[in-house]
Amino acid sequence: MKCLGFILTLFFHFNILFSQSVELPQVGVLDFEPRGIPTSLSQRFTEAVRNEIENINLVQVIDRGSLLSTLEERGYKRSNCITDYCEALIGQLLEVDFILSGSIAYADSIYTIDMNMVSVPIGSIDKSITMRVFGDYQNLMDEAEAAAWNLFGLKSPQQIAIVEERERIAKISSTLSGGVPVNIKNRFRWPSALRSTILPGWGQLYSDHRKLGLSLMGSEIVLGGLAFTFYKFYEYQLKDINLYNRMYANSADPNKLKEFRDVLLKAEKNQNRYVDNLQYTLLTMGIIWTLNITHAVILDLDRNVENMPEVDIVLNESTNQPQLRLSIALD
Amino acid sequence: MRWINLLLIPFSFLFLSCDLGKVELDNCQDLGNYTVDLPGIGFCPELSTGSVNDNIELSISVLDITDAAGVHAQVNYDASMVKIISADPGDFFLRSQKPIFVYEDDGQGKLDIYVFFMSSEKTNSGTGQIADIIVKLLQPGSSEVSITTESEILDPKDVKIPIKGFGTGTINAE
Repeated sequence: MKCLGFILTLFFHFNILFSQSVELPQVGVLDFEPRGIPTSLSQRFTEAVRNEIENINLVQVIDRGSLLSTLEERGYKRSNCITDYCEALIGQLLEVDFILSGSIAYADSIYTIDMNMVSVPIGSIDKSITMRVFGDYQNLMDEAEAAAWNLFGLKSPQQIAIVEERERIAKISSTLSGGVPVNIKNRFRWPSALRSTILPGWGQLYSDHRKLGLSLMGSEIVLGGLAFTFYKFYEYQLKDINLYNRMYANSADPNKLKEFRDVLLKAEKNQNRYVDNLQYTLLTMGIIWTLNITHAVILDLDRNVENMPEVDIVLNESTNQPQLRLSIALD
Repeated sequence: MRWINLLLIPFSFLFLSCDLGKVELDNCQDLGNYTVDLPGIGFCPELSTGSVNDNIELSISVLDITDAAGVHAQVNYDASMVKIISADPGDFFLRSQKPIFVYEDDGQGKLDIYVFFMSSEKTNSGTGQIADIIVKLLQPGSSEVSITTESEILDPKDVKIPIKGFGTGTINAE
């Protein structure tokens, strides 16, 4: 079904394109009448509008040269033809379907553009548009595109972009002023810290701190080995103490008693030394472990902060005002 | 498992305690437990501790003696601090036949103990307990017990064996 729909749509569009290329209505664009502006400016604006209409590709535009020559051949002057009927007659002479005419007036820093699309067969205005442009000559020329599109009841690409931008800004503004909150989920994550908590150095290896990670891991392994050795020595001494305590308690031989006493005192001294060493080793392991976790947490914080939305002040060109910009990385 | 538990597991190792073996040098046969010159008579243990109204046991030992057949041990004590409850023979002269054992407490701080060997062997040598005394702690504080120089060790012919050391002991009542 999808395939059939696609084929039909394709056929339909080809049909439209084909029919348009054959039967596009013809338009003659007369130079806009200058009112309070130089004629050359009016002609430039007209030329810009003419080019835009050509680009829209909905009608065929008679080029300016052939239009002027035809009018001169028939003895018409542009300034004498100011009525719709007259323009319709010119259209008939040019053998076009529509005649576009208009005027540009300038007063108080405002350009007022009046454009009329006269239907030649009917002899009356088919479409009429009035536009006001604030600013200088460049602003006027920038409006040529919009003028051409608006003639056909369409919005120019630039106008569409501006509308979309305004909607987007309005949405953000409503959110900031207590509207629907923007749901930016940016949870802090602790992959390195978790790994370093489980195994010292693992988080550093995960975060590409290879040397540090291996050093931490190696240190903990060595210290762990030492701690295990001290623990085993302590166990041996504890066994000796328990054994010789029993032998000492059950002996009556002064020589044996003296021997057992010496052994017991020595075993007790060694036992205490090994327990001390074990505690110091475990303490060192704990400190290194803590530092390792702290470092991993810092690495995670760095990573989290890098992924935080960035807010900065920028100039909005459409409103010509500063505004806050929120950037969110999508990686 | 919450991640905090992962932190607690490794650190719990730091708080593991090791059971330390305790050396118990309390054998009364061990001359190392006495601070008297040899041969001599002493207390085992030389330091005893207990609570007021408790009964504690104190042994009197002969130390490194040779061919002894009988012992007279005179003990001085602080009658205001401790009270003699009983005295029993130790195992130094104990054989198939029990030794003759007599004690006399004047209640004023002097205890006399007499022990005589009754075995066919007639004499015994070395170190051992001649009497086990039960004393009651009357008051809190520290008091001293001592073997007086009136004490004597006799051979089978009733001749005194020279004694170099007369021991003392301390009783702490809490």
